[in-house]
Amino acid sequence: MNQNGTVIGQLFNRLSSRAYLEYRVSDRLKFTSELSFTYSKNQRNYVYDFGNGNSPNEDLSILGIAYRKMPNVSIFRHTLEGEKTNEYYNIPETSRLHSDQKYLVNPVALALQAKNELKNYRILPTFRLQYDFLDPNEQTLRYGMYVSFDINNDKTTKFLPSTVNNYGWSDSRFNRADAGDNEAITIQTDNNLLWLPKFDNPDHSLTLYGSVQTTEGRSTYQGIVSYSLPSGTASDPSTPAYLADEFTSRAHWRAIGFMARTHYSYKSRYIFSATMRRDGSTKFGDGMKFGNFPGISLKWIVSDEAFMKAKFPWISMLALRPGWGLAGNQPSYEYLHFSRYGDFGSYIDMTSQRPVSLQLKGLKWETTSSFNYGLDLGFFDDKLQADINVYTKRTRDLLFRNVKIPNSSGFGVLTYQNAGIMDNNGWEINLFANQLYKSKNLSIDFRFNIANSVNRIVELKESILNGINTEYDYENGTYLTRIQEGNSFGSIYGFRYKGVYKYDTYKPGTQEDAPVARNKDGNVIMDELGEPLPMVFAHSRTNQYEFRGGDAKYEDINNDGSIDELDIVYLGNSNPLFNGGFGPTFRFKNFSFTAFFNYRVGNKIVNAARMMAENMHSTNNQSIAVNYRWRKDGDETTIPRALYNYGYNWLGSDRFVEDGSFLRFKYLTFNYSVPKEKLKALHIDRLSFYLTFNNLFVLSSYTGVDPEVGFGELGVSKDFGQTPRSKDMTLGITLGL
Amino acid sequence: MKTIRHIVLILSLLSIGACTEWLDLRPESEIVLEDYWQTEAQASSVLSAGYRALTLPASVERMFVWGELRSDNVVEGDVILLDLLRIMTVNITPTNPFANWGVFYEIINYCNTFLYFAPDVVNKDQNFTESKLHQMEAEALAIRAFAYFYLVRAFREVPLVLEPSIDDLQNYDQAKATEREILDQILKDLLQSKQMVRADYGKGAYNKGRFTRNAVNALLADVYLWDQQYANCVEVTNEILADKSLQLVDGEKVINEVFYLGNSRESIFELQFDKDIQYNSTVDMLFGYAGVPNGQLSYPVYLTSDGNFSPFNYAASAIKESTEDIREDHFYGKSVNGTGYSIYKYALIQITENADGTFTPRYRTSATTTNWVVYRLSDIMLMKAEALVQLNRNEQDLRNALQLVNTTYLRSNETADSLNFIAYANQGDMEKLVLRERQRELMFEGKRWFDLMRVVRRKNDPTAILAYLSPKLSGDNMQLKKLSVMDGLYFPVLKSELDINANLIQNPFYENENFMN
Repeated sequence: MNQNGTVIGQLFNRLSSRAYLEYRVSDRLKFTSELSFTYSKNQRNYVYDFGNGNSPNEDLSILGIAYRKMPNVSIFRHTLEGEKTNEYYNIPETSRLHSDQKYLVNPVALALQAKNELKNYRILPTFRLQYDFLDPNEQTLRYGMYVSFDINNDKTTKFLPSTVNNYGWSDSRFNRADAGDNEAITIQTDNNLLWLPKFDNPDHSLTLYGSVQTTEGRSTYQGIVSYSLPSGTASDPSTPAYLADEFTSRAHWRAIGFMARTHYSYKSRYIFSATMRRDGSTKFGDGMKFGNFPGISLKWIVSDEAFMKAKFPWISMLALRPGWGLAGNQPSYEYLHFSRYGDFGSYIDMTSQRPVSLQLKGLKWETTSSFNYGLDLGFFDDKLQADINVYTKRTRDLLFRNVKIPNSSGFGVLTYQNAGIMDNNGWEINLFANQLYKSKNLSIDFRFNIANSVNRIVELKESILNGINTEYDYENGTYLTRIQEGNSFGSIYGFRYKGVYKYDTYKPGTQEDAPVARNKDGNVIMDELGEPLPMVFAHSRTNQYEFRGGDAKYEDINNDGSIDELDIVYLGNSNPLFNGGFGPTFRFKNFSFTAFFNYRVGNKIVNAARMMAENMHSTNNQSIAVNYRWRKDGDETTIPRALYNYGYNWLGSDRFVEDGSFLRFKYLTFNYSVPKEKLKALHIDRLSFYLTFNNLFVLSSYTGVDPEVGFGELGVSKDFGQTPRSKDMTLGITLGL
Repeated sequence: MKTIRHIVLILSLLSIGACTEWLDLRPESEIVLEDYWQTEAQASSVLSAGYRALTLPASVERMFVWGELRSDNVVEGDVILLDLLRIMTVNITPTNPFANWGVFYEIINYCNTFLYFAPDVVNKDQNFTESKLHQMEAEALAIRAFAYFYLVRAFREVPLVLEPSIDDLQNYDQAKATEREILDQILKDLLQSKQMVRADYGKGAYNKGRFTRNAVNALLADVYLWDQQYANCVEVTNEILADKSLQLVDGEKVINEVFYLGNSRESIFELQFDKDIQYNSTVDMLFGYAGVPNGQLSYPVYLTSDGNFSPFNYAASAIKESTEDIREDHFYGKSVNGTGYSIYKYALIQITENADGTFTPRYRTSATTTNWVVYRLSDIMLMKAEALVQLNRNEQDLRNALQLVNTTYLRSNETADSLNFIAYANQGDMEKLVLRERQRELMFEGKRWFDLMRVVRRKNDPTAILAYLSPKLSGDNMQLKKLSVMDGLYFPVLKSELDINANLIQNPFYENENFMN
């Protein structure tokens, strides 16, 4: 299988195979073995991230670089005569241009010439054994076991040729090669016993099941990075050159689980099940290794009751499904409960080692207890079906990753901490209309779903809360985010943007729209000399700034003549009111066609990509919207004047907060099955053709590339100009013999 | 069937007992605390981590930014980092990354860890003797004092952490200690270190790159000067000056031997960099190198116009200094594109004078292997001179101070006459002369702001240095006002640090209140 990406330079290949062998020794003993092999090669874009001084609003993807790059820099070098060569052009390092632009790489060269390849080989052998102690036709008492291996090897090779940037030969970004190998093997075993006791009374049915599971895994990783390779074609890091880095790491983990489960039903309509799990993991320290996770669920199929059948024959299904359970979650790293000492280069010729982590003595399992209330409905012989789920989940000992601790400890973060309690409440409705319309040749199905869920912090460690709920930093581009105990995630706070000051100096009557302080009634505030008081940003702070004509106008909510944190208001929330999808299926003779739409309603997105393209604050390339910027007194526009590295014209305000509601035509599939009669002669069981179009269109008032933005930190959607979704089509044949 | 159930039950009970052990795995590529601190080599590796962390770019950058950036010695160079520019234009906010003190506490934590665990290693490793332990403890104490000395000079009040950070159950919300407490701890550590530290490691790079007795004394002298204990300062500088193995390098050769080759005979303590492990990227970034000769900083034009505030070609009434100073030609020069003055110190390999009197600089390539000189002999001489001027017990003190100034002055002004006592015969003039000579001698070594701050501290008057700083500022009254507040001369606590540490309080200057009233 081959697949091209939406950005040049991306290519994905995959090859997979699978074998399955079953051997029945007797009616009671059965062996099976399974083997699958997958090879994939993923050629990705090089991520030009060298870690120093990247501002949080900076996008390091190729598209991000292309957005910022000066548009009048040629991709290819031109000769003195103006003829284009096929050599990639980079601004020379000696240029007097600002280094922000000077050192920005050539994005086309980066996409096409730099290599970032991931090869993966994965082998999954599984061996199973099943033995029945009793005759399975009489009663089941079955022992089962399996051992499975997962051998997963990754090989990453990267090369950054000198043609993509302007650095000199001794720079670490000149002909830089990375190679990394990761080898991992995971062994899982499961020993289980299943017993279905036989009852003389057919109303009873009982299942008992117990199992012991173990997991053991090992992985080793080694990598080497070198630079200043002598040639751009010999891209192996072992070529004699400067060695930038060399590293190896090993990990070894184990887990064990004991499980017991029972399932009991009476008259097939009163159903009870219960589970008990006890899990242990190497990821926790002494006394913290094990967690207990029970669960209970009930189901009552009301529609099977005699009185229902008699009174409401049109209700074909009505079932209630309440359930409760505990689930555990563990951190994703090993050895957190140790204080570890690792290498730290050397000083002169003395090798250095240092404590690299704080010992997490208090780390324990994160547990989620969830209640789920389900309702299954079916009407008119299940022509109309619905299921409704309402759930409440409460997560305790919430595992917070990279919890900041004061730098005065000598460490910046705790890798993990159990820090609080979070609720996740939601609901989901699925509707399915089976054969909404039906005639001899044509039938129509329709499905629809709608859902919503809300995360809410119930309790959080104070220092984390303080770390998140920081005071306003008085910088351009930042939105205040807050988590309050009891409030949902994803709220955005900022200033209200009111356009641009038309005039620089205030003249009553003629030049009213100027940066002066006004009181509640809209009258200009005068100082003791009768001069109007200027409107300022951050009055009496060390970075106080006086607004001028053409500057952004923010609403002075408290009318004190200073735009500061007291003027910050709630601008919306990134959580949608609801989301979901719907679509019909039409069947006509042997043709069918299925359409599916998905939607999201009522969420807000911070369009950071637009912010960066309209702020006129740096040397970055800007969008054409800045052509409409304020230039002289009296200009009427919504785009402020250009101020290089100065001013406060792009504070976090509703100017960049947009409604993210959308409706997307997700896919459309045509299918044709060749009639069975025609295939019989050819000894073919099944033959069908299909054609699928993906992402046909999207309806949205959002101005960014794609309104389907994920939820970032603290649930706020921030869009940095992601890679657009590909519109593609697939043509396929299914053949069954 | 019953038996089967029993067997299963017994088996699972057995495995529960065994599996706690089965679930105890230790890392294979790192050593855990329980297994560490067994040998001398392990102890010395953690000590070495303290030095290693001093050479991190974050650390060296701050040594310069805190020590010189705000002074009159440097202005904006080619394309300067916005955060640096903001510091220079007196627009420091608590979000400025250079207000992050993290790297110094990282250094401190390695020292604390060493001091906490190393003494017990003596019982485990027979080769590790008490005397070896004490020698290493002396270095750890000195490194810790060195880090705290930077912190106390940049912030005045910071948390005083003397225990290692080991696990997540410790309380890390440390409050600030007072300046007095910190200085007392520094002095206590250094005096203890001085008792145990080695005078000689028997190896060139070790003698300049690790804390020797001379280096500890140099640091001690610097702390005494900051703490206005002038008699003590004179005493420890005398100990250093008594070591005749330290000699001034010839004036012509300073740029090459002291700053390019490093570990010169006048050097006392310098951070060691090399090609493979740790570059001195700060020098590249700020001062330039062959590839980009115009660094982010440059030497200001206003200091080149002869007069009252120019270090070279100084002229005030009858006094004329440094008319033929080698340092003027060697430490900076007209930039390649002629727009300003590039910094040469550290950036050059050497400089040669042409027949027409112009100079040709030869820049280093980007392999920034230059050491960062912390203390050298001329610095010590001028520290002593400064202390003598402040002591001013009699005329002899001032005469001795002048003699020290003349020593460094004359090596770089070979054709000039020595400075005459009559011209500087009072404490005020002599103080200014020492300050000027320190500026000429030590420019771009991360010292000038601290030199000026000592003046402020002595006079307890922030406006005492405004005359030096005002030419650098745009004439904006706001900037001068901000510089006229004592607290405003120290850095704010980083905002993110304040946000997560409930016990920390901000420097009042940076609080949200009207500092101008």
